[in-house]
Amino acid sequence: MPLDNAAKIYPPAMTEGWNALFRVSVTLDEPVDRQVLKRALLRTAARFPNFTMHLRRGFFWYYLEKLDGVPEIRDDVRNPCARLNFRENGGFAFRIRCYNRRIAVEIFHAITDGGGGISFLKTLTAEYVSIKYGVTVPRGGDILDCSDQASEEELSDGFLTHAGPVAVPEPAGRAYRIKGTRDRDFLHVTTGILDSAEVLSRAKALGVTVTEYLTTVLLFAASDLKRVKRDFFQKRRPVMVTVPVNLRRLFNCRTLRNFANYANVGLDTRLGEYGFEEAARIVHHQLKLGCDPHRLAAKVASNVNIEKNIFMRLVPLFIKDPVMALAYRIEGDRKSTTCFSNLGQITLPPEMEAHVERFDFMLGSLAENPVACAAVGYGGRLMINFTRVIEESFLERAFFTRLVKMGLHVMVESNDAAQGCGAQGD
Amino acid sequence: MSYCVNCGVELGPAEKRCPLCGVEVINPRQKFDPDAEAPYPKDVERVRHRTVRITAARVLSILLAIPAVSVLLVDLVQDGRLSWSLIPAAAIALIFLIAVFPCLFKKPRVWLFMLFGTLEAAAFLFVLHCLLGGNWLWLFALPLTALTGAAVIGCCLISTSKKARLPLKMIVVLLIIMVYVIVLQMLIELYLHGAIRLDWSLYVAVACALLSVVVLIVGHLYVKNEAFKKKMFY
Repeated sequence: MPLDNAAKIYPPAMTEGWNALFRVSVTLDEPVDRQVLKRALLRTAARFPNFTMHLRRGFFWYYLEKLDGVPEIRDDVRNPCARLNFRENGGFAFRIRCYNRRIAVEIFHAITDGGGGISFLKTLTAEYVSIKYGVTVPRGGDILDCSDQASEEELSDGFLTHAGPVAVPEPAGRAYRIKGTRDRDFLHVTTGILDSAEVLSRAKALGVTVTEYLTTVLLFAASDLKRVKRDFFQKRRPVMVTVPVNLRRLFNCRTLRNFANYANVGLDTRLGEYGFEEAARIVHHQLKLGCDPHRLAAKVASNVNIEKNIFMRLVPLFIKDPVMALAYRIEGDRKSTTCFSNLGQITLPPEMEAHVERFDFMLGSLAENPVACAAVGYGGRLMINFTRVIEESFLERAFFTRLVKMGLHVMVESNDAAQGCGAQGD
Repeated sequence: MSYCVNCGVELGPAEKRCPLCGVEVINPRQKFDPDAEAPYPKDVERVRHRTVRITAARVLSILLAIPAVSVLLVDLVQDGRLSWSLIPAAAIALIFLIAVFPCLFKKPRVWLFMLFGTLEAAAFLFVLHCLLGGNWLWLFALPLTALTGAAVIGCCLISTSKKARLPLKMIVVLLIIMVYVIVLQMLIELYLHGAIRLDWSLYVAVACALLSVVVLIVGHLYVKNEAFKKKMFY
């Protein structure tokens, strides 16, 4: 199976210490039974054939090759999303981790995106609950029926199908970049737990969505940071946040592979101070514009055109590989200061809800930007996970303290707790 | 429930310190429970970094061994002994050491690579001296190599220092350049004319000194004078 259009960049961009991973996890009401999980995984993996694939090098492109079986279930670790070694993982491009009541799936971006990942996790949890408690979980939406086979549409490359007639690449421009002391091989995770209804009411009062509201807070936090740091070389760069956009709903596509693009929203602090309401309105309009299907189709078309370019198709992989890796390093995430990915509110059938306490979603380290943010809501709670590869927790501190100052209750936990030390703020 | 006095956030039950600011939170009514379920286990997954570096070192070794062995064999077959081929072979050995040595380190220690590079260059010059003869090694080549190595290592150390601020780094680099050019001309003059006479190096040294003074003043005003900072850098 060829890689989809968005996935093509991830294998060349891999380094010996990094590959593009993200993680979705579910916390149940009692400790995970690994035997049951193994059975559930076997059934789920059969329904998601794009997961049980091995990344191979072809002469012109990387491609995916079918694998039998499922990866071994591993113990969870303190540093999630550590580089996935395919060979040690039986060739699979995703891994399953367990810790007490939590099941976590860490996925290499070349096989799917957050939408596909959460569908996989929900289906896996549905299978687990069905086997463990003998209940019948109704299937529908993201929860797929494992007795069915994957359809052609589910395994199709949505980018090729829905690319627009005109290609319009997004204009490039460097954004402000957060700097700090790099912490090799350790991804710091800080989770903020908020009340979903409280956040929703705040967002509604401003006439914006939760994503727009939190993106505005994040932009303000990054602007605060920029103001405090006063980096002479970056003073002209705007603060930008990349917000991934799930294209499945916009283009009515049911693919289980990558099918997302992004909208870049930002504030140019050189123009003066913005009030929060004013900034929220700007973000609202920027995101609306960024989610315009015609504009997105044109952006997708520009990416597809690169893939279809005769030069790109004829050049062997050993030449393309370093060029693409370099392009990703230079261009990859220079347009944004950080990334905010919101999976939205997760709903489950009551049969599952009784056994599921919590969902989490986090992004592995980005190529160059050291901090990323991801959110997911479930059961009246909103989980906001900050992941960073620098020692300093500048951005999350600015973000959560701003929420606290706005009157929201925030509970925080981190993966530094096991060590008994917190991160150094500013 | 405990709250951070600094950030105002509630801490998870397993948090002894605030994850945002690092401040230890002491709640007399609810002492920290070390047995509380931590959100993550203690084990850390180690990422192996050796593979690519070691592979790179192996590939480089093979790539460089081919021309080295070839020139030695050609020389041996033609003349029945090793003569001219020792020079390219030594040069290849120098490239090998400079390229492969950094592959053995996980973290790039630039000053160490520079020190090792200086020693390698000195060894290479010594081999050339043994083959070609002359008095250039002790009077000029080795002192110049040592001087250049010391200057580069000094610049590396000061530019990568986390404690020193940018103006201080710039001043130290300018001072190193100043000393370097003066000693360089001294070495050249001593080797060529047997006496020290300074001219062109002084122009460079004076320019460096003036620049250092400018950097010192600008750095001082940047820290002390807010109006100056705004006027010049905003």
